[in-house]
Parts: sequence; structure tokens; C-alpha cells
Amino acid sequence: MGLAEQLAGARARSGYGQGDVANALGVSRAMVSYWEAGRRTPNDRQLAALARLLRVPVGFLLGREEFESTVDVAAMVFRGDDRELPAEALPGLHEFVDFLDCYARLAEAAKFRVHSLRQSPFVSTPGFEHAEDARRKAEEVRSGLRLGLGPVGDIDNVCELLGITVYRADLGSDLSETVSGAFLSHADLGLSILVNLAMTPGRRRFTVAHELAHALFHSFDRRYVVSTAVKDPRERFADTFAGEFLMPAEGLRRVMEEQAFGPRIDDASEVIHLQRFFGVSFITALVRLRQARVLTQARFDEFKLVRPIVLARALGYEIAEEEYGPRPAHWRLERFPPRFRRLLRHAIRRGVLSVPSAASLARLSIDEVVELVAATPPTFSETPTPELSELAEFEASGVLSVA
Amino acid sequence: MSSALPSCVIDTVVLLYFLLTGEADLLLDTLGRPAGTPRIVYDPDEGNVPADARSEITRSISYHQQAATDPARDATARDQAAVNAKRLRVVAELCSTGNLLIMDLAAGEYEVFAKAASPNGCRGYGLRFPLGPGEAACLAMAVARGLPLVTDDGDALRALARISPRHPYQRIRKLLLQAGAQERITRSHANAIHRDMTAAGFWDSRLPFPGEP
Repeated sequence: MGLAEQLAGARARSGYGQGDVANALGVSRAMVSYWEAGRRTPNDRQLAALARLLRVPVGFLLGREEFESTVDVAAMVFRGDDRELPAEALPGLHEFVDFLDCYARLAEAAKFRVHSLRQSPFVSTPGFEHAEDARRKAEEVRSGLRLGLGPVGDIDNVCELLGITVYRADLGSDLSETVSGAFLSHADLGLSILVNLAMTPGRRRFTVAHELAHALFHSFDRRYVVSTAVKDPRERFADTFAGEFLMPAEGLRRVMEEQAFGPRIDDASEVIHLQRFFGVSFITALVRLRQARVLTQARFDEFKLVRPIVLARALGYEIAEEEYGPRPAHWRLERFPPRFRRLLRHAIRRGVLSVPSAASLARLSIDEVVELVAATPPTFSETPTPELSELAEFEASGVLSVA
Repeated sequence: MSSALPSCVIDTVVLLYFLLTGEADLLLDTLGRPAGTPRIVYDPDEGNVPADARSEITRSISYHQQAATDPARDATARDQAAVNAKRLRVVAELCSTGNLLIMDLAAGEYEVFAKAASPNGCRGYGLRFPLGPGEAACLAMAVARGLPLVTDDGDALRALARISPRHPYQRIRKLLLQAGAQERITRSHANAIHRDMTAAGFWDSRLPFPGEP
């Protein structure tokens, strides 16, 4: 088949309309129609963009290569309803699957060992669907990871420690319609999690914990799970698990006691403190406090109208830049797990992969790859930095002398 | 000049680093004017298309423009990014003056382009990973049109050797040495350009060229 037929077929399989392709490429819908009718031919820039968008090799579009996607993203449905996956989430879901394939191939070529978890180390059998099961399992996982009762810290790193890959993609910002995250058991990389980059940091952490529940307790009979706002018992299990995992009831009670908050939360500043202590979103903190029965319904209704960043800043908490909203889409390195970023650097430095090939493979710009691989940042400060002052203090104290 | 044939096909990385160091004229003088490049490397007609549909040099320009206002970078890095963006924008002038010709893939060039840029096809050229689309297009054009390939991508050169043994090519180091030999620049200037390129992220040996301690 020629370009016209291949393009029309690939577009139809990807679930895009001609208008979607036109928008993604910055051309008119009529032009896409001409391409598919064989009346015009896309140039090489447009061909490369079409291949990226439709997740097929350029050779396939040109009718010179066979290609079969390893996962039918449209079939990635495990929910309590029969809605189709939202169109705005499709590119991110495809991107996730492509990333995992690329990660596995690159790791193999670079002889880079990826610690991957193929099977949950926790007992997971059918029937783990109730809230009490979820709480018990969250305690079990925390205990297995020796997390005690305190904050989890960087949950992406916790997953990496477990051998679970976490990838971030833009799945759309209307969370009532789109997907917050997904779990996939990849043939080579094992249990893997996707989280929607368009959410706030607190909500992303909750989603990772939620998908962790699917990965650890629902992966025995499912290859993938896509989480949306519509709930079924497994989704409720995962939500309860996430709340307890990130903000354990016992830990919550202990912090409230240590901070002398009293038996009931009456001031929104106390919620802010607990939210930031455990690293969850303000709404997650409110829900957990309500579940723990230390927040009345009236206070819950009152506090849910609070603007948490404004209040936290007024209370003197440091606000991270990304709390104000997602970073621009062009800063795309943060999509990748730290281990993959190290792999990319390792592969280029050892000549396994060239910079342009790495850029194409990871769907980054050449400049992003250059910055990742640079031995030192392209600009180097010649004036003393705060880090050097800190080092001088260590040197002065003698802690660096090794006997 | 627009009716002249291109002297060679230049890929993204080579064009990028000569632009970033403000040495595009040296590149063109050394290679011969006009030089050619595919539309995926730079497309003067692309307009304001979404990021993923842009040509590679236009993506670079956007990257440096955005880095120039990124609060996470220090003032020196932001200033450098602004200078980089300005230097990269010179590419538009090179095109409008006919010094850089933008070439479209011809039907007979699709075969090599498709194979080199595809995960399975690239194995036929002895590669483990596909070339970036810019490199693949340059390779296809260089082979079909009998033009020297100007690239610093080892995989692209490996594929070239497989498809067309003894096909002429140029790499950045070789170009700088040639510019020195043609007395366009001194050896110490060649070294300074090379240092600026590696400082800008060009991944190459840090060893100086012969003639400098």
C-alpha cells in the first residue's frame, strides 16, 4: 500500500479524526484529506511529525515496513462503565507504551541493568476490594518498605526502589473527563505506572500511590488498568490504599498529638501543616482527616473552599514552582524516571546511541538531550556558589577527613 | 544563487553548532555555497506549527528562547540562552539569501529515508537504533544526489559506508581542520571554535587539535 492508504489506516487505528491530525501538524483539514486521497504528499518534516503522532515508523507510513503495535491502547479498559477513553488521553497512553518499549530496547543494547518487578511481592488474590483490605495492605506495604509512620518522601523513588517504572505524560487537564493514571504490566519491564503530568504535585503523588495499589494487588489477573473518575470496587480499593499509604491514620494521630492540635481540627492552618508534612494535596488531607473522624462535616465544607497555596505561603511555607501549575510542555525530561535519564546519558556517553537518535527515540529535542548528557551544565558559574560555601563549612569542621 | 546546486547536505547537529558559535559563514565558506539541508532540519515555510511538528532547528530556537526566560536558570545561563536563540535565527537569513538551500525528499529517496529512520529497517544498515529523521533525510539525499554528507552522527556514517562505500563526508573536526588548512582560520581559532562547541554541548573529544599545546 502507498502513503495515502497507510496514513488513512494508521490514523483510523489511532482514533484520531482528520481534524485532530490537522491541528497537531498545523495544517488544514483539507490538506490531511488530500494526503489521504493521494492528491498531495507530506514533506519530510510533516512525515516525521505524522509518524510521531500516529506512533508508527516512517517506513510504515511510506508502505515500506510492516508494523504491529504491541498494545491496543483503545482496549486498555478496566472500569465500571463503557465510556471510550477520552481522545485527549490517547496520545499520552500511546506515549507510555512506546516509552516502555524504547526503555527495554535501550537497556538491552546498552547492557544496563534495570531492576524491574514482574510480580507483586505481596499476597494478592481475588477479593481485595474492600476498604479494610486496602488499609491493611497499605500498612503491609509501608512496613515492607520500612517507612514507619512518617511521610513517604519521593513516591517515584519508592516505586523505583520496588522495581516499578513510573512515567509521566500529559493526559489532559479536565480530570472529570480524562484519565489520572494507568498501570501496565510490560513484557520486559514488569509493573509500570503512568501518571497524568497535568495534575498538581499532590494529586500526582496520590495517583502514583493509587496505581501502586493496582500494580501490587490487581496485577495477577490484569495486564493493564486505566483509572478514571468513574469508580468500581477496585478503584475504591486503590483510593483507600493511596490515602492510607501516603497519610497513615496512626501517623496522622501521632503528628496531631505532637503538634498539640487537640482531638479535632478546627483551623485550616493545621490542615496545611499536615498536608505539607505528608506531602499530599490539600483535598487528600481533608478527606483523610474526615475519614479519621477528626474533622467535622461542617469544617470539611468550610475548609474545602480554602485556597491552600495562598494560605501556605501566608503561613511561611516554601512553595515549589510547580505547585502554581504544570511546567511548560517543552521541559519534557521530567516525564522520565531517573533511571531512564541515567540510561540515556550512559548510552550516549558510551557511543551506543547518537544524540539525534536519542532525541528521536525519546521524543525530545536535540537540545534537551544535549543538556542531559553535558558533563557539566553548559554555563558554569565563576562566582562562589552557596554549595561551595556549604562545602567550606564541612571542610572547616573536619568531617571530610578520612582516617 | 538560488539556481545553483548545493555543494553538500548538512545535518542538524553540524548546522546547529556552527550557528550556536556564530560561525555559519565559516561553515558555508569551507563547504562551498550554497549548501543544502532537508526541510526536517529547517523549514522556512513552516509557520507557527505545534512544537512536535516543527523542524529541528526551529525547535532549538524555541528551546533557547524559552530557556532565556526560565526562572530555574541563573542569569548567566538565561543570557547565554538569549544569545543562542539570536544566533540560531541567522538560519532564516541564510535561506533567504540563497546560501542554504532547503531540499525536499524526492520519491526515489524515500526508501533509504524510511529504512534509516525505522526500528526494523535500520538493522539492514548495521544500526541498532534508527537515525533521527533529520539524519535519515540527509543520508537519503546525499546518497541519491551524490552529494557529500556533512554530519557528526557515527551511526549515519556507518549507514553511509554500508550503502555507498567511499562516499564523501565531512565531520565537524575535519571541517575545522580543513578551514585551518585553507587558512580561513588559524589553528588556535579552530581550537577556540571547537571549545565553544563542546561548551555548548557538542559531544566530542576534548583533545585539542594538533598545533596547540
